[in-house]
Amino acid sequence: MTTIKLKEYGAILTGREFGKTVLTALLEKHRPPFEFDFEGVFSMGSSFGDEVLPPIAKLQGNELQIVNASKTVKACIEDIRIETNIKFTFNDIV
Amino acid sequence: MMSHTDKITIANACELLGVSRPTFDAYRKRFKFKEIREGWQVFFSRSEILSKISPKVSVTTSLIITDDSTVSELLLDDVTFDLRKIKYIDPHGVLSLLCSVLSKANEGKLVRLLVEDSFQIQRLHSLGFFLELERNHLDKIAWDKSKVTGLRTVDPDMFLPIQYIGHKGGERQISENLVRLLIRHGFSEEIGARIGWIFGELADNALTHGKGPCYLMCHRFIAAEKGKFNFLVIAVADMGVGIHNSLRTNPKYANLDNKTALLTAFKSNVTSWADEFKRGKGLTDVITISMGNYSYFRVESGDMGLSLPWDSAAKWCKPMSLVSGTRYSIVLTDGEFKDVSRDDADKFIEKLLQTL
Repeated sequence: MTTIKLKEYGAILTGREFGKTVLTALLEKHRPPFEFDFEGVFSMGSSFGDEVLPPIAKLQGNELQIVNASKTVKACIEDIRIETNIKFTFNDIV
Repeated sequence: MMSHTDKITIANACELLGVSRPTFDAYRKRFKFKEIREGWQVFFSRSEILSKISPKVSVTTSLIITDDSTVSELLLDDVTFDLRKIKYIDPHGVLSLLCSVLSKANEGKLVRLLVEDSFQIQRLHSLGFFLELERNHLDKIAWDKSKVTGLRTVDPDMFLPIQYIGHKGGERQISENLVRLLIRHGFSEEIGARIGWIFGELADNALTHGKGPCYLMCHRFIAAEKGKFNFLVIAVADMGVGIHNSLRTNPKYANLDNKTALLTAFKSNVTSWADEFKRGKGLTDVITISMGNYSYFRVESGDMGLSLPWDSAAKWCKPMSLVSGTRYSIVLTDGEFKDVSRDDADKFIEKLLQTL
């Protein structure tokens, strides 16, 4: 399992195009399965989340492990879960 | 050579200056206004009068999110904004005024701003208002620069002065810096995070559908309301086609009237894009965040204004500016952010649609 530290892409993750760019960069650099570490990320917008989380979940059995997500990030992930039925597992390490 | 729009009658001049005919006659002698006689009628140059004498001013206009005043109250004529009338101005007012002035200049008109060395005008100066005008249209917008030059006074509550976002993603670094600044000033990380989210969605929306740049601002104010003290007013503005017009470019929504289109744009999965792109969530997210914080939300698009104070009834209002484009403002409380689902937001919008 590769842990992706999303803060490398910024503390505010918004924008559909930016999401697409990040997804491409991730898949070029790493091989799934991934878990996403949101430590240092203040918020994530739905447009960004839509472009990154569902395509990755699709590559790993519709499941995604989330680490260190703030309440705001979790609120966005919850919206994605309702729409996609992805199975998210949350762990807080920090 | 006096242009057609510059030529005014004595009655116009009295109205412009807010003086009686005898007072104006006294001014004619004192300031030696040039007279143009056409038959029996005498005309004067508006710009000459304004450059020699300032009209009477009463400080009356509060351009703030919760007020019904409009930018048009500052207009002395089609191209002259009397900024000295500003009693108070918040980010919603600043961006509405900025878009109004820029829009006139974009029409090729010579715009005149009447300014003085007052607190509110110095405040506008400190927010980068005049700097932004200079960056855009130095030759089309005139004001007495001696009144607004020098050291820009710092307004400690203005966390984010006027920010020009010319490309997608430009808002992210600004939002990050703002969140860190808010935390240093004692705000919760959560309010910062939600603002970052809102700015991201609205700026992305403006840059996609507005087909041009957008502006962001954030200002703190302190009020003892319902035991809460720290509030932030955030504003986002663009001069695009307006969200109602943008939505109607999708054939599915082409027949909606203005108000229905404006409200429908906030429902989830409603977008000007075709369904297969699965867009149309950002504006709903802004509604869920506002609802969860019991915020005051205001959106203006074209000639429509909608104000949503979550503790009382929504109401249609006069937009602060009639300029094409969309302006959003939200008053956030540094307090609770309840999780509100998109479904709840949709139900709320649906209810409003039924009142139309």
